[in-house]
Amino acid sequence: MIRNLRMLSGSVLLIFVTGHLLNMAFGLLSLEAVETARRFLTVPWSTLPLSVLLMASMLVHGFLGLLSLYKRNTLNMSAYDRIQLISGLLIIPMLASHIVGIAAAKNLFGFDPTYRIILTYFWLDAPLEGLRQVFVVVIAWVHGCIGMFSWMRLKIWWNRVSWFIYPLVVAVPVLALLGFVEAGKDVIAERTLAIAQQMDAVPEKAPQLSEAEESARQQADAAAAQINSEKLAFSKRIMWSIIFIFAFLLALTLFARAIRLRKAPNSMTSIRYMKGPEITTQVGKSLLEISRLHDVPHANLCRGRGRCGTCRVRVIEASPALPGAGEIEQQTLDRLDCGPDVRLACQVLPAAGTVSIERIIAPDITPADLYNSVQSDSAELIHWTVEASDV
Amino acid sequence: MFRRNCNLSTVLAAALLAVFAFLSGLNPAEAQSTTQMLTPDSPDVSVESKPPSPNDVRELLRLLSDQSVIDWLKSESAATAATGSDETGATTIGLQQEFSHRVDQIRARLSDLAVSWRNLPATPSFLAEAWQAQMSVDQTLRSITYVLIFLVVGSGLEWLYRQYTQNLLLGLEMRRQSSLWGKFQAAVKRALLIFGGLLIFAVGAIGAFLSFDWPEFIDNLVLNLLLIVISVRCASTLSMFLLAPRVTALRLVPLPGAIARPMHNWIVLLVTVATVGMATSDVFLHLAGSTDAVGAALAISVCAASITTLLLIIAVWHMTPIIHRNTTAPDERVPRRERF
Repeated sequence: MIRNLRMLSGSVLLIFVTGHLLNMAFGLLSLEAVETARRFLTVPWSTLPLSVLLMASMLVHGFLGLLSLYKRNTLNMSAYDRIQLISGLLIIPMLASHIVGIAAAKNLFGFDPTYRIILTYFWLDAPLEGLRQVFVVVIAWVHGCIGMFSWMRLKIWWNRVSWFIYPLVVAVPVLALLGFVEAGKDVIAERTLAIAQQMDAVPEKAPQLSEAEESARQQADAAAAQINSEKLAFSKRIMWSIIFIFAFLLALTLFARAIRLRKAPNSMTSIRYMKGPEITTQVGKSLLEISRLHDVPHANLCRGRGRCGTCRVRVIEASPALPGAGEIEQQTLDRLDCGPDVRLACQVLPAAGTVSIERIIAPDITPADLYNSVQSDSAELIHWTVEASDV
Repeated sequence: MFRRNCNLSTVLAAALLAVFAFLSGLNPAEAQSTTQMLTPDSPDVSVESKPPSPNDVRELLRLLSDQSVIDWLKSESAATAATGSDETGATTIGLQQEFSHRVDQIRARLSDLAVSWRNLPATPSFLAEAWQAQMSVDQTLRSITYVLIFLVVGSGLEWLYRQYTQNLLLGLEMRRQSSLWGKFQAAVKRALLIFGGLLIFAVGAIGAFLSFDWPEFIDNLVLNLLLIVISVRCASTLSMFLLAPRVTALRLVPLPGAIARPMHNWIVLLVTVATVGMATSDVFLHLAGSTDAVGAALAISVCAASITTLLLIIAVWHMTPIIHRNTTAPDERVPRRERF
């Protein structure tokens, strides 16, 4: 359930980001092309059902991200996991001003924030915001792609489509960023031209106003400025509230995780790998985490999410007995039709004692191998074809 | 074992001095003075003799047949004969002159350093002024945006390359090689694959760099940035080739993982700091140009060298007990990175 929810919410967010990036890529043609594409790629997200879906996905995905952080036994993780975690944590604080800005433009100031307006703001009025936007585009895209790849690479069709998807993964953000630059050049040129025309134009004679009219006009201008300033302050308060709430939730998660880990028994467990080393380490980590931390080659195509089953091990001996399989593990083991002595290394946390295991799958397995072997034979036939490392 | 560690420490200490000496000389002014010290009239420098050209020989013959030259040579020869009895004294004078020359150079260097050091606190404001004179804040931010974009292009292309080669890389890393030759071959293939990625990154990043219109003085800054990235990654790849910090099967240097990993990290960190230091010195000189800030250029170089040297000392201090522990008894303590 949680896994599906994460994938679903993540997919919605990635589709949204992809639409935005493709829209921006039209900047390579012209600013007008960006505006035209906006009607099909970006505007639909401002309709009520899609905007509700988007906000719900963002909240659910953010919450599940924090939950996954809480459940982590170690923060020493693989490079992909590390990038995904850091990028995920950066997205909300970095995107907050953009989201609030767009919402404020529509709801507080009552105008439609077209790309022309946004690009002028990013390139001329607030270049720091433009820089932040480029950064957030990159991290959101990287985060989304890592998550999507973790899921897709286990699918039966992945081997056929991966060669075409890889170039797209690079092409979409690169074209979007180049479009951003080209469209930015257009708005800079437009502003320069407008200033030049303003300088050349003969100033119109201002209509003569009576003293009372002048005073009323000044008061109206001051009132409008005051209202705008209050609206701006309000939108800034909302933005900072989002950032502070997120920071608070993050701190709370880390604190809760620290308490959870502190409660774990501070004892040692000994893992004996068949055709491999024997490792003595602190309890509280999964077998896969122990393998990774000690550089023991261990297959894990889904990077420890319990989806692929490539990290499965045959338990030769365990004293005390290993804890029972959870829901996620049992589902995968059932799918792979594994025997009772087989467990998923990514899900098993050995208690203090000794465990002897045999890694069943070769560590250099690829998604294509997984599919071919599973299809051509029953599970567990992707045998340990290479000698274990002498780590 | 202790002796071996002492020897290692001695070698590292010598390396420290060499690095400091090298990095301190990054400043062109220093390079110039070094060049002056190594001019051909220096006794230390041996110049390879080449046969004279026919024109030179003809010229020499013409001079030797000139009566005025013959007379001058005779008078010089007589003068030399008169003073020849006191050759030792002449050598002493030469040494004294040389020594005095060197002392003058040291004095000049110290004086330069003192002046440069006095200018150092004002460097940030000098730099800010120099920068603002060249570019507005908006232009600066736009340039950073461009830099970010060209790094994304380079990284994206490298990632693409890695996706197509990762199965090969994984196969190399996961299969045990029993012979040294097999291990070497696998390590070379792995290094080539990684260098291929670096090459793709460089091509992508430089391609994107060339496609943007950079303000002239930003060129130098961006090129330095590119050099930092490429140098650090080259060093990292080379270190991975030799130390294979995470793949014992490919390690060419016979070290346990507990030494190879921190050593690799230190190498990467030191190269990063050293390269950033060199780039900073270069960018500073370029940016300072003919402004007053140029007076602090030497201090910047010395600061960069000092930081690198300090880090090197910390590296030696950190690595020595690790080497000692892992070469005397098997380490059964829980690795530090596991505690979190």
